[in-house]
Amino acid sequence: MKILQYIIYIFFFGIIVSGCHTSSEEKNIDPLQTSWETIVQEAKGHTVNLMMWQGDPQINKYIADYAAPALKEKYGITLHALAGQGNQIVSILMNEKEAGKKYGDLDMCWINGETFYQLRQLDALYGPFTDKLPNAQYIDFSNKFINTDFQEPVNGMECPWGNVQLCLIYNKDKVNSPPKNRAALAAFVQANPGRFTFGADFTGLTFLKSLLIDIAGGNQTLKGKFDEVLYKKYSAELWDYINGIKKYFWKEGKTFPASVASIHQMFASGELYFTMSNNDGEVDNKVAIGTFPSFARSYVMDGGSIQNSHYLGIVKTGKNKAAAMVVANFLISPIAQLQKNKPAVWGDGTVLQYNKLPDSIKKQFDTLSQRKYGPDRAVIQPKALEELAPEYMIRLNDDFRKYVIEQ
Amino acid sequence: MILENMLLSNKFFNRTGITLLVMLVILPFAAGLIYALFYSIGFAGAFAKGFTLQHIKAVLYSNDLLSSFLYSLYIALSVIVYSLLLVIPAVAGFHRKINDGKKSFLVYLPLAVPAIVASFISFQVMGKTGVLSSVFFKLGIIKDLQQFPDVVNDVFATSIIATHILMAVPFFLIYFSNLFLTERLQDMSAIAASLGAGKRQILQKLVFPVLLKRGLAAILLYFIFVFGSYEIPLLLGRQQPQMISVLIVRKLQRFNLADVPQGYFLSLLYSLLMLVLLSVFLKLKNKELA
Repeated sequence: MKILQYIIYIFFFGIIVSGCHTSSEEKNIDPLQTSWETIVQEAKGHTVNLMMWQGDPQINKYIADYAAPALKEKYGITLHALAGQGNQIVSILMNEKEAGKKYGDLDMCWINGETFYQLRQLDALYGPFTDKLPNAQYIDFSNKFINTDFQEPVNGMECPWGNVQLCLIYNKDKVNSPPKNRAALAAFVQANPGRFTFGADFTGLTFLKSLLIDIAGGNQTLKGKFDEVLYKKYSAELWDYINGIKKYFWKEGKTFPASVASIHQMFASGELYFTMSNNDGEVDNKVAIGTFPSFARSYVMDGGSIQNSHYLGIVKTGKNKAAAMVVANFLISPIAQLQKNKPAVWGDGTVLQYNKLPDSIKKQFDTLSQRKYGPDRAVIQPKALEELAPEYMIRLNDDFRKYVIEQ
Repeated sequence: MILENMLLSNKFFNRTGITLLVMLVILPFAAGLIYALFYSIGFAGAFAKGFTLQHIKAVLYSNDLLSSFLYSLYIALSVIVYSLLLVIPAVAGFHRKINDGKKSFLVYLPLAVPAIVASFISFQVMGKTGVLSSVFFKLGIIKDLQQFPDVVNDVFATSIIATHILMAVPFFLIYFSNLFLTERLQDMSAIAASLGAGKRQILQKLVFPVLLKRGLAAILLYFIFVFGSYEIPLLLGRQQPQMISVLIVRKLQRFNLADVPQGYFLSLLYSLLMLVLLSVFLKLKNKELA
């Protein structure tokens, strides 16, 4: 009988030991040290696990129905999208690092700003790799909204994928003249109690950051590294402003929606007159697919709004780095960016520089239908604000709870 | 023959069972708790810098801890009390129908609905522009959709409690109707009635006490389940206070990586509390068996 007990112990010990042993499937080729042709050859037949936010069916469709089949056909790569965003990606990679895993399950991730900052802290990103991508020649690396992520130069450690700007979306049937500045917004909120709120999430924090920059007098004041003194000075004004009008917010400002998705839903049903989006093209996309009624319109207040880019990162512990590089190269190709830019597909802003594009692609970008419900990029570009250093977002997130939600 | 004797031996099954329990349940769980403790005091984690009590102090001195535990306690107790008040009289009156094959399907149906789906349905039904609000508006009970009472994301956690009750009632109905039969409460009720007891007296003096006593262990387990629920309060709850699981995930997965050790310490506290409740459950179970 005791023998059986020992067998069980040995069995589980074996499982633990085998769990500690890393896979030997990986190849020794480092894609950064080899030619693009070899990378493409090496990528063939591999599966790339891309962790991405899957909260929008249109975005999921773009990946599943457009990108994945094209990658399979052109390069023999299977693109497998996994649901997960910023904090979950960081959590997974942090756990892998803490467990001492040499190779994990993720190959790529869709990231920006604070996730880039956190993954750099963890040393979880592979690169610099963008120089290796042939299609990187089209990227507008001279654009500060693309070459810098939350005040940190990307330096090839993440590949620009899309560029967007925060917009307020309003119900034109209920809001005749959308408020253009903070004072007008406060007046509107007071006159229309229960019709405005923002989320305690990434989009809500981007809105707060835009207000903070406006209060500080523009981008130049808070540019660069995190400044405690300046933060305290201007954030105090920000909390005074929010607390001054929050009793007129949805639910009298006693709580805030956990995500922008539920704000969108309440906006579409008429409960709220305002929602917001980090993507200036989203309103056209959402009306086109019927998520928003045609009363939806978007704009940017005079104080400006944050413009930022989102990126593709390759995970250091990924098993298929060569295939991940081929995927990234395809996703920044002019044709894939054009498809993504279409309002009915995704409506995501391109990171490519128009002048660098082949003429045939330029024409196709030109013939894309004009925005009907949101402002053209050229109109809001002068109001674009740069992202602040990541510490501002971390502090705003904590202090928003402390000085607004918990008050 | 040897194998036959071995397999038939209770001792064999006891030892193997205990060994498997230790290897599969107790060791990983204990390892998890130790890891959480090490993480909380700076001995583990990607950014660990050695022993520190700052994360523990941050949790203990914050408003989050107490408000979150009290809020979870309030919701779990409310769900249990309201569910039992609904279920026990229903069992006393309709236990036969509940166990009837075809009709019992209706009782089993809500058990198949995942918590996240249930919370989404509640959001759609109970919101200010939801189904109920629209019905009230059409009936002329309210003049504007905004007049519908605030029951989603509200201070009293109305929609969280209601959604949990919807999920708890079928479970308790099935459990207590079986208990009603095995405890022969129908016969005892008939005897009580023949001795002159009224329906209310039977319910108060016989059905409630017997079912509550015999079902206490299951009630406690369900209390633990509600106390630690995540999906329902995530969608239907407020930003402050948050139920304990929502708070832990917020600490573990938000923007500030420095908050992660606080999340581990909260998980540790929560696990210890659940262990205390489970030990109470075991004592009750043993009493029940005795």
